[in-house]
Amino acid sequence: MITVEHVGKRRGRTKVLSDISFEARPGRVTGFLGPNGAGKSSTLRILLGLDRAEEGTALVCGLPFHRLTRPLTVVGALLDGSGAHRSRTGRAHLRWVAASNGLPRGRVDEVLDLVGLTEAAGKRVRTYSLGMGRRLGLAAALLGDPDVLVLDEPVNGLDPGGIRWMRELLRERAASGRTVLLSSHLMGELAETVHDVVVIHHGRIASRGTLAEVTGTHRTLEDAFFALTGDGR
Amino acid sequence: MTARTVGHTVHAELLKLATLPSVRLVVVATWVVTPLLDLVYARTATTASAVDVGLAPLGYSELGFVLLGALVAASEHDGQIRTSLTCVPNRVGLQLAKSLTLAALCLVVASVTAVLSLATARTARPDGPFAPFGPGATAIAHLVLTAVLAAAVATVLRAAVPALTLLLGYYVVAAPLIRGRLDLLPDTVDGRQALVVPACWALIAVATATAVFHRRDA
Amino acid sequence: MTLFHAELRKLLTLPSARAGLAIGLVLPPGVMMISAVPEEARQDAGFVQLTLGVIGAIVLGVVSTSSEYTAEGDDAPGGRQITTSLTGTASRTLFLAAKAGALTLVVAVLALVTATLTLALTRPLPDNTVPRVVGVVVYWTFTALLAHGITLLTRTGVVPLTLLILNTSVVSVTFLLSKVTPLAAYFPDLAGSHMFLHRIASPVDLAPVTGGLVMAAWVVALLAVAAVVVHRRDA
Repeated sequence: MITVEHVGKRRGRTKVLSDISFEARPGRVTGFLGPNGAGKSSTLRILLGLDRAEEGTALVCGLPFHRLTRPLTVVGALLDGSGAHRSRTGRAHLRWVAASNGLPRGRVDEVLDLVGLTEAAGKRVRTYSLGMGRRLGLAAALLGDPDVLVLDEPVNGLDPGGIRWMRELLRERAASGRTVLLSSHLMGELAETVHDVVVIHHGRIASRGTLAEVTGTHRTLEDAFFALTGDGR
Repeated sequence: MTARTVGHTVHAELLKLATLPSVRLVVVATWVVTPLLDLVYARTATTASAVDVGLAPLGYSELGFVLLGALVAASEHDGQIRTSLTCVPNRVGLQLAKSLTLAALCLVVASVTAVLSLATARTARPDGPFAPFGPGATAIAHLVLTAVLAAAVATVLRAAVPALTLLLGYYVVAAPLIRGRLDLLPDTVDGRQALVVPACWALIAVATATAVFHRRDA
Repeated sequence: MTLFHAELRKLLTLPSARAGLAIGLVLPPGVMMISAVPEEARQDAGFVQLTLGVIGAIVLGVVSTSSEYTAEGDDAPGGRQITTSLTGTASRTLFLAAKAGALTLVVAVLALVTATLTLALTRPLPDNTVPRVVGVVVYWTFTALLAHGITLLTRTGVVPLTLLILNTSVVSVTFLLSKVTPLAAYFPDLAGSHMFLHRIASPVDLAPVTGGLVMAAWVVALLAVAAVVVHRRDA
């Protein structure tokens, strides 16, 4: 369960987020949709305690992120890139991540297998392709088998097979009663995966509801999105 | 933080140190270069005692510890800091665990460096009295404090190259010029308070880095 | 020419390069102001301080190249500016020449301005000021090019920065080595400093022009090796 209430933030003089409120519920995949620079990543970073909000609260399972004692067992997060240092191996990266939350070492090999990185686990992260880096980031997010997944542009850099695999993984997580929040600017992909949609534009919520509610009378989610954001061109 | 989460955090930080190739490289380089400098120094400073010959090159080994601290701290800010913070959201605890594990690693590395250096010096100059323990222990503590200070500076700057420019510029160029003109510099080695001043600098630096790290957006 | 302009612009817009400019500009006159000149060092007054300012040139040489190899953002594990630079320029030789040219121009101007500032604080002016200032400009430029060459080979700024700044110290590593073998006098920094310093504790006394030529030989050799390596390896 993710609850974001009235979150606001400025960077310098510009207000990057104002009055952001939405929920991501267990058992559902929630899509966070918006053009580049709309405030998707900023919101997710505030939710994960990386950036500070000036107003409002962002709670995971009823707690602000920094109050979680073993956060990996509650929230798995995938932000841009791999989140690993380039000169470590994939396995060494996951080992310290696991150790930081007291997770058993055996989990490392399990998640490596799950994301299909077992063979590349001994190679340095700098040699990974974009897609492999994303898989490593996802492996770290899944280490603690968390109830909540927060993913920023998860399909970015994945090949078509990887995109389909990611979609199935996310739907399975939701089907088992977990909460999934993902951001994307790929409308077609999102419409295939999500149950609920939150649309953000210029740092404000433009629309939120179930996929059907947000699509409304429009033919597709993409049409609805351009109608909401006025970015049709 | 509970005792258990502290243990987990320290364990993770130790694993990070153990798997960073640049750490291994700097440690090996320090261990190779220091005894070589001993031999050079033994040849040039013909009147120096064995202990002096063994301690003099540690002024250069110090730069290995500057590198160690700066590289370790900067590596965290090379795409990895958000992973660290999503694993351990308590930033003050995380920063203190980092300083602690770095100090522990450097204590081991500095002890080996000092033993290597003093042993080489004694081999090169077998005559005369040899009481290396007091000055040796001070030198080791000094090297550890240098690394902790360097790490704090690199944490504030978040990148290795600017941090090293500043630190090496200070230790190599500025310090020899202003030493003697100003008291209470971070690399003060003489006098009875030989360790008090550097320890205060290291503490101030760690406190500043922790405060900055705590406040800013990651 | 466009390539040269592009490299010049890249260099001057880097924050760390600006820091290098500031260090080079401020350090020698600053040290000149706070340090008393002992009588026996009178003839090198100002020039000794200018050897320290070479750190600015080192920083410029290192960051002009290391910035190409730094990962930009975390999006692509291998995404570095060098890829853009090399796809924007068909010839790697031209790219390297433009980079070295831009670096040379910036460092030479920096050295000239700093030398003028530092020597303006020196009374009386040392002998042969003008040819020795030329020596300083050449020394700084060559040192920046050495830093550039080493960084091309290592692809990280940490190694050249450490080696070269370490060697700027009063008791430099090459100086220590010169106590062991007279051959150390032919290291680029020791040889090159003959271009503008009169009192050098060096086992071999080189004429200013000879010192410059020795340093030039190092620069040419290093850049040639770097050029070959950059050509051969994948970006």
